[in-house]
Amino acid sequence: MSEQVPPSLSWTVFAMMTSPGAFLTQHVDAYPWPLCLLMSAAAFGLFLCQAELDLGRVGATHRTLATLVFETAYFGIVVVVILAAVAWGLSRIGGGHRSFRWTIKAFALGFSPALVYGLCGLVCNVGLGWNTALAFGVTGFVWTLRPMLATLRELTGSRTRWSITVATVCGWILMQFVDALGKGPM
Amino acid sequence: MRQTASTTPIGEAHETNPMAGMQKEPAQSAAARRLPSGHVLLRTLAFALLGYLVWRELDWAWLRSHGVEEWARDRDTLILRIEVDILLGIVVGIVILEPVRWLLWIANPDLGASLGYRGVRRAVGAGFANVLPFALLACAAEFHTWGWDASSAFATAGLMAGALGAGAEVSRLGGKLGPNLLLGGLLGLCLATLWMLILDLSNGLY
Repeated sequence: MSEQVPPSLSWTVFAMMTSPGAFLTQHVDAYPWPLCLLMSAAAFGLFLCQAELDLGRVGATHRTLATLVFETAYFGIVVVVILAAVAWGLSRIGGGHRSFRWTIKAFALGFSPALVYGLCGLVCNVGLGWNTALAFGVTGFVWTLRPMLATLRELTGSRTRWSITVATVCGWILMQFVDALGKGPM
Repeated sequence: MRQTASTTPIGEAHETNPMAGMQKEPAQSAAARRLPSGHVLLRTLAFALLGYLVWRELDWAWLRSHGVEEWARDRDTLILRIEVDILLGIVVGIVILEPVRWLLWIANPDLGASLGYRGVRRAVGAGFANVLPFALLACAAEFHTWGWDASSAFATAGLMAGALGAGAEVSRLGGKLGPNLLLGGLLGLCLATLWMLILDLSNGLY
């Protein structure tokens, strides 16, 4: 049996934003997990850069480059693993059948909207001098709820009520992390 | 009594479609069994929460300047106002879903022929159930749970996700994915714009 080739990065991001459900069922297995985690880490990294630039404008910047890199990696990996663990555990209670590895990959790819918003936000932040951490950064993370819902739907075997409950819990946890991240260094 | 997807009678699924009788019965039965639940309760709760958010955004100073300051002084009236806004949210939710259903039905004539309006209606309902987590988190954001107010971002993203979800649900039943997602996205954009306009009106901008 031939090994699946993952679609291009731009197509992955577009598909996760528009039709995550169909994309997840067909392509997630084709991605190596480090690549997926790299995408979520990039999303967090772009948000952090915007937060730092915003804080810098009011003279409250704290992070060194090393802290920035560390926090990017930490949040990009740890937050995704925590969210995936919560979702996977709760989906098992609801009769889910997907593996933990699949869940991590799907959750990490779900940060594609945050990646796009982060990129646009950083361009506006640097190019136009806007404060974009809230307008672009947080909005990007809000948009990750849609791929998250599609992932949870797949995890729970299309149990809508259960997937909505777990999505709310995971969304809450994610926003706690985003809030902590936007306030300054850990 | 509410029927489950597996027990939907074929005749009812074709109530608005004169071509329905021309379909083969086994295909009809399979199609009827695939119908998702409309999730009326989840949708209603989501729109009720969005209605409550509009109430929270109301600019009372602006209302007072228009002579309604005596309207809601005591606690009973305050509770009544919240109830009215929740009810309005639910009514608006019902009203705005109808054009979404209608347009997706028109855009999928084959699906309309095999499942009838009821099929599209349920698919749209299932898609808009996705608004609920956004609405719940919007309420949490409104109460400054996270130190920033992004309730509008949650609400607009929720409406977009609902409309895109409706398009995806319709395509899951057999419609084409691309056109339905495009239509869902455009409708979502309209709904999100409408939401922002309602909020601006509540803030007394116009």
